[in-house]
Amino acid sequence: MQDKVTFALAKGRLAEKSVDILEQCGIDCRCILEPSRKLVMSDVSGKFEFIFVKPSDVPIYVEHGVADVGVVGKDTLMEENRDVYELIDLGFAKCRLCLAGYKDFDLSKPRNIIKVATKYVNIAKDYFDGKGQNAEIIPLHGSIELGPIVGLSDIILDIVESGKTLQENNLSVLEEIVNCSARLIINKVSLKTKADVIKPLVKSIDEIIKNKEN
Amino acid sequence: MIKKFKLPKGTQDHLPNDCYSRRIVEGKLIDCFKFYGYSEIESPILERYELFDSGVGKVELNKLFKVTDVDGDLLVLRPDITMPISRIVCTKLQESQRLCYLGKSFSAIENEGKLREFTQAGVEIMGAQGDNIDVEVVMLAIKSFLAVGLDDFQIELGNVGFFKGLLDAYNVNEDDRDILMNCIESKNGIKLYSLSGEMDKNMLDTLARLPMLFGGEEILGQAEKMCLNAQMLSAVDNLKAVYAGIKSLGYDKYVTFDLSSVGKMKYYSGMVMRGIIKNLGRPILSGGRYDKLCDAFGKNVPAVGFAIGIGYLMTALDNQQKLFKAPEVDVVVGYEPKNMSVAENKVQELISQGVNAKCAFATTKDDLINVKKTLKAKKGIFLGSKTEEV
Repeated sequence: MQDKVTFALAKGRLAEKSVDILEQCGIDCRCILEPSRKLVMSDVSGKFEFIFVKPSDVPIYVEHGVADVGVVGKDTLMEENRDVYELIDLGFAKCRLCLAGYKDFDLSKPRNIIKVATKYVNIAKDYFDGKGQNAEIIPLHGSIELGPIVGLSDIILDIVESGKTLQENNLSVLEEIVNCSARLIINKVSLKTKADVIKPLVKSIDEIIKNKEN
Repeated sequence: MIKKFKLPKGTQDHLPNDCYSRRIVEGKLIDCFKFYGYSEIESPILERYELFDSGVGKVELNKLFKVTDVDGDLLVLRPDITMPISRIVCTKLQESQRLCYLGKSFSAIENEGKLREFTQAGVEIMGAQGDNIDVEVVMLAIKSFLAVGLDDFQIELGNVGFFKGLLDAYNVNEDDRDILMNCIESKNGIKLYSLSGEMDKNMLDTLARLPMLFGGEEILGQAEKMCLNAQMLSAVDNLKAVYAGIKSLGYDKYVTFDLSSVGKMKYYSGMVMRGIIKNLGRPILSGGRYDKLCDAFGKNVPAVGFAIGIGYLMTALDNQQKLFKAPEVDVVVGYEPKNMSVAENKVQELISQGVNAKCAFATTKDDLINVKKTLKAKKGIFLGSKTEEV
C-alpha cells in the first residue's frame, strides 16, 4: 500500500491559496473547503491527509515529520528557524517584514538601547545583533502597532501588506528587512522515503508556479 | 514546582522496560561491530576544550557543554566521540585501526525533541582509504540495522567532493562557500535564486539542480553529466564503485543517493551517509569520510565512520513494533539463610532449562511474597526446612 502523505496547513487564507495549487496538481481538496471544526481530514482517495495547525506551528510539525509537507509564510519560517527543506516559493501571501515607527524616528542615530515590540522575537534579535545595536525586544502577540503609540516601545518589527494599519495609526515604514511569501516546506526524511509521491508533486507545483510567473 | 524533582533540560530517565530494550539493542549493535572485526574503545566524557577548538573539527563554542576545572582550565562534555577517537589513534595506537564505541555525548543547545545528553553507537576505520573501505562501512551500517531487526530503511549516500568540486570550478571564496553550503544542505533553491546578482549565473543554475538530485542509481548518471572537473568526477566514480560493491554483495536495495547531501559536519571530505526510515522525521545514522580531521594532530590519517543515534533508533523500532519486552518472571526463589547456595543452584538449573527464574534476597516467606509481588512473578518457591510454593 502506498504511504499516506500528510500536509500541515494553517487555516485561513494560506490554506485557501494552497488548495488552489493542490487542486491543479490533481489532489481532491474539497474536504478542506467544507466548513468544519475537524483538525484532521483525508481526501477521497485516502492518499493525502491534511492537518490544521497554528501558522507558527507548521514548521514544527514538518520538522518532526508528523507532517511531510507544509505551507508557511517566509516570516514564520525565519522566526522558527527549523531544520526542514524549503523547496518552493509559492508566490502568494506576499508581504514585507519591516521596522516601523513614527515618521521622524531616526534609525541611524546612535542609541544606548532601542526598544522593539514584535511577534518576531528571534528575527528582531538576529537583526539588531547583526548591527551591533543593543535592543530590548518586547514580545507581543497582536496589535503590535500599539507599541510606539502607548510608549511601550520605540519602534515595531512586523509584517506589512498594504500599509493601511500603519497609516491609520500615524506610523510609517522605517526600513524593509526582507520580502516574504508563502513557502512549500518538506520534512528532510519524507522527501526521500515518500519520494514516489512527493517528488512528482514538487515538480508539478514548481511548473504551476513558473507558468503563473510567465 | 520543587526543583529537586526536575530534570535538567534535555535529559531523561530510562525506566526498566525502556532500559531493558535499549541494552539489548546496544548489545546487538556492539556484537555486530565486533563480529566484523572491530574493537571496542572508550574515552572520557570530559575532554579539554582545546580538542574541539581547532582545524576542520572545530565545534561552535555555544554548542559545547562547558565545565570549569578546579585550576581554571576549560573542560567540555564531549559533543561527539569521533574527535576523541582520532585523538587516541593519533597519540596512542598504530594508525590503522577498526574501532567501535557506545557512549554518551552532549550538546549545550537544546533542540526541540533533541536531547542534550544522547547515546551513540558507531564505528571508525582509521588509516585506510579507497572505494572498498567505503563499501565496508556502508555494508556495516546495513548489517547493524538488520542486526537489531530494523527493516525498510535506506542508507543514503552522497559525496561532498561533488559540491566542493563545483565551487572550485567557479573559484568561490570562503564566505560564499558557507552561504552556498547552507542553501544546498536545506535544499533552498529560493535563496540560491536570490543570489543571482552576486554570484556566477551558470554556477547557480547548476547548483539549483542539486536539491532534486536524489533517488536511485540513475541519479549517478545524471550527476556524471554535470561534472566540470576531476574532483566532481572522482566523487561520482566513488559513489558508483560503492554502489557496485554493495550490489555484488546483494544489498543494493537499501542504498539510495542524494548529491546535495553535504553533511552537517564541516570535516567530511568524501563520501557521506545517512540512515533514514519511514515515519521518523530525522536520520538515525550519519557519517562519512573525514580524511583531514587528524591534521589537527599533525598526522595524515584517512578515516571513515558512522554514528547511530540510539534514541532515534529506539523510536524507529517502536514504530515498527520491534522493541524488546522484558519477559515475565516465571519463578522467584527465596530461602532460609542456610540454603542460599542451594537456592542459587536451583535458579541456575531452572535458567538452563529456559525458565525465567530469579534468586530473591528473601529469607522469610513474607519477604518472598513481597518480592513476588514486585516482580509480578508467576510462582514463588521458598526453600526452608521443606520446599514450599508461595
